[in-house]
Amino acid sequence: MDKKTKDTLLGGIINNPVFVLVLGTCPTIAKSTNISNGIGLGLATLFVLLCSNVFISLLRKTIPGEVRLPAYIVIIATFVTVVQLFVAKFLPDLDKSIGAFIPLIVVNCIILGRAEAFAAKNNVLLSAIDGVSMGLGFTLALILLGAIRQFLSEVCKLTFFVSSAGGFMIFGLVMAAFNYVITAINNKAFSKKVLLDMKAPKAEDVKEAE
Amino acid sequence: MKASTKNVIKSIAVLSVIALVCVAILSLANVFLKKEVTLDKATVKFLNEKFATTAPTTTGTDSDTAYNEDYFVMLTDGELSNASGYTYKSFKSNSSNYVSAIYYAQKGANEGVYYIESVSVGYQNPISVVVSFVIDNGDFSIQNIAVKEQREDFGDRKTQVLNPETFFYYVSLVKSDEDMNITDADIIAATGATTKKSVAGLNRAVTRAIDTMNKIYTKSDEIKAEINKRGGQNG
Repeated sequence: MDKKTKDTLLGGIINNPVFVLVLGTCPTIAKSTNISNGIGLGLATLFVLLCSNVFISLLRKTIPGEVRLPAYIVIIATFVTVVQLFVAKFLPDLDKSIGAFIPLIVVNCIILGRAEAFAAKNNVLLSAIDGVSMGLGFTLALILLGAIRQFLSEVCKLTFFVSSAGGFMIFGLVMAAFNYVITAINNKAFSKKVLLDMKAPKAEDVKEAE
Repeated sequence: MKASTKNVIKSIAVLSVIALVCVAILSLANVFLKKEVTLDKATVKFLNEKFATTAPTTTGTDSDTAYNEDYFVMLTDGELSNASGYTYKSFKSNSSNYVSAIYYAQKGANEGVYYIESVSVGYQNPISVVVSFVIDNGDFSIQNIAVKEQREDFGDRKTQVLNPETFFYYVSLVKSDEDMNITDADIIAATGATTKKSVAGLNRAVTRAIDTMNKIYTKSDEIKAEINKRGGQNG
């Protein structure tokens, strides 16, 4: 696997759309009150991300730059409508719970952001991987926040954390912890690389010694 | 042809093709994913419990029994057409104001009551209401009104008209004037509603149900005869 594919695959974690890129904050705080909402909204967003990334990547050389944004919005809105119809028909309980937020996926910054920053510049396979990776990153972030907020409100009876203000506090704390861990891992990996570079003898030095 | 003109034409052509492809995808999705109104367990529970005023249920039995023993039936397009000459499409005002189902209580304490489910868009989402009608002495009257589905009160918008605490004010207003000469201002005054579009949506849905009943109540015997042809099969 080449470096670009690997980076794209891990993009959902290393460049997590919620905790690192800070995109899609509105639905994250509004609908991460419990785990099931998080899974539902996360998977709906994943589907839209995957389909729109593939579609936009396929058409990246055809869509003129001047009309790329309206074209992206039309494509994204189509897949959001498909998800909306699916949830309304097969998952009525989920529809009641997060239904109002499904149409808002159209204006979720993650979708348009990935279309503009990635799918419009890369091939279909990489764009599909990016869609899945970012979608899973978003879903995991929603599940993590949902689990914490559900635990605090239902087990610890701290119902404040179901509110938007409580959600914002949890969001900030988890974001800080997440970035601390990611930075620590990156620093460790960087130190290891520097150390290895220092230890490895240079080719000219080896030749000279011979 | 100038380069800028060429660019404009190309942009329009590409956007049109994308729009056409998207329309094709949505049409296909609509074929497989369109939500159809059916007389499922949840609907029977809704009809049996939401319309009860004095007893716990309208049929006098629990909702599971009401469902299993076909206390309610939903009129099919064919039955409606055979009995009254109308189809569901006849009761459609436009794509956002229509009758989605007509139910009939064929057994139980509420036998003979019609339940008309109609939909209208309020602030931005559809409001689905069911109005129950009793036919007596060749005329009909509204028995009750209940909201089946709505998404008008999410977020901070308080649409008092749809709140259970104030909804009965609206019901009594409609019952006092079944010709529906009720203005949005009357409803706002009676219920304390703050979102005019929700009020208008609800009112349109109820008016559609009453208009529908106005057209079919004289055909009640024919409708019963059509239902009897089923031989106990629920719709």
